[in-house]
Amino acid sequence: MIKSNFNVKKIETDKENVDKQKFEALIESSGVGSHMVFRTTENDDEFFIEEL
Amino acid sequence: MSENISFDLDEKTYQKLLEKKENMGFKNKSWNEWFSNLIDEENSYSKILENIFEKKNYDVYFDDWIKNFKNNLLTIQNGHSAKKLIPEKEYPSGIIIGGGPSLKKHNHLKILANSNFEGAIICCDSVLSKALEEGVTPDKFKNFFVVVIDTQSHQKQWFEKDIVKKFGSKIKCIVSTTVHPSTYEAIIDSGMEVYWVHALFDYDKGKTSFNYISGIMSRSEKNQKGFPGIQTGGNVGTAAWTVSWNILKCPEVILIGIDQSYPIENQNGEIDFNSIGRAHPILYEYVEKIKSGKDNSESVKQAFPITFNPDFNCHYIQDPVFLYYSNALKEFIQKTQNKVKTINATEGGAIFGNGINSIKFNEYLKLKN
Repeated sequence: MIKSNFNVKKIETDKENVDKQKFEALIESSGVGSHMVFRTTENDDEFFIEEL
Repeated sequence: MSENISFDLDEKTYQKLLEKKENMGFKNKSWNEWFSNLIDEENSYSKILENIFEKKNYDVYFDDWIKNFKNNLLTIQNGHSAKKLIPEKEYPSGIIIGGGPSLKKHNHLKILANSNFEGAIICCDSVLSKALEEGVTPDKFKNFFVVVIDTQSHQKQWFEKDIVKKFGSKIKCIVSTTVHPSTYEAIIDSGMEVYWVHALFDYDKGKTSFNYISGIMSRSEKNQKGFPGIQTGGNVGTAAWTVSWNILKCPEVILIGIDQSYPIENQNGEIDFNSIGRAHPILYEYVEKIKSGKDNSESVKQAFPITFNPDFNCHYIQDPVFLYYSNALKEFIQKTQNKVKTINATEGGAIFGNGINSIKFNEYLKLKN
């Protein structure tokens, strides 16, 4: 058996939310790039579909 | 304030946890980062990033994609499918040429031009003229391809240059069905042959998706089975990587100029702006903030991370756009390592980690000679 120790840090939830809101604002203001990443739960379709 | 909690794991469970952490791309990240990702994926910084970019793409581009597709439709229906490029005998390997700053810094185009590389060259559109000028031409490399996915009209500029017109007839161009019609015209005017693909982005939404509907509309007497759809990863470099092993069937793919980041001298934010080339103005603003210590908040660190690349012993900084691209490409390479061997010879930048083999470009070429 392995004994595992977790050091659980208390975090300030409000601060984390503020950080994430600020992060979102930064992303919003930083340009849009070229195109979009494609996401699917069908692994076979993720990269290539031979006949669309 | 913190609290210590202990619990017992059997070795088998611990081993499985380690494997799972590594397979999800968290090998060199903390347990906390991985656990956070597992239980709070929707709320993680990377997921927030991806969700916002998805929304921004719809807001900014979606209508143009529809218009471009509509205007291209007749030429698509009468055109060639990229499936025609699937070789009877696979190319031994393919080199993806991106336009990142490492390409110039390490003189990679000259090194390639002077090599005896025998595989396929898959060039991103924006770097094509530079590659040709440096001697990476279809006269020297017979299997020469260029990839275009960006949908704005200014993309045509890459095909209007004299040197591109000089070699155009010997280059095969793989083009997304949503490119601007003027880009298509410029490609044709340069003498290249066009081979169509669909850029996947909403196929998961089924029959109501633009991908599905445009796929059906593209079919014609000449192209009864339609055209292939490819993962673009949001950018032409990743699209070229997808093309290299799914269409050109390269079992081994080498990346050069795929930095997806900007070089930075160290973690204190000393940056060589001359080597950056073009960048979004917000990057300059935040590099100044980071350097001056005016904003060291978690949000800025997450949106403009400065990271060390241990494979090439260098630091790099990313803006949110590059972060979005590189997160996806690294994940894709890791997921597909049993299907394609990806070698990063960029000698800098953000692409390293599980499943990615890093090597200096001239060392790779020496190994192949």
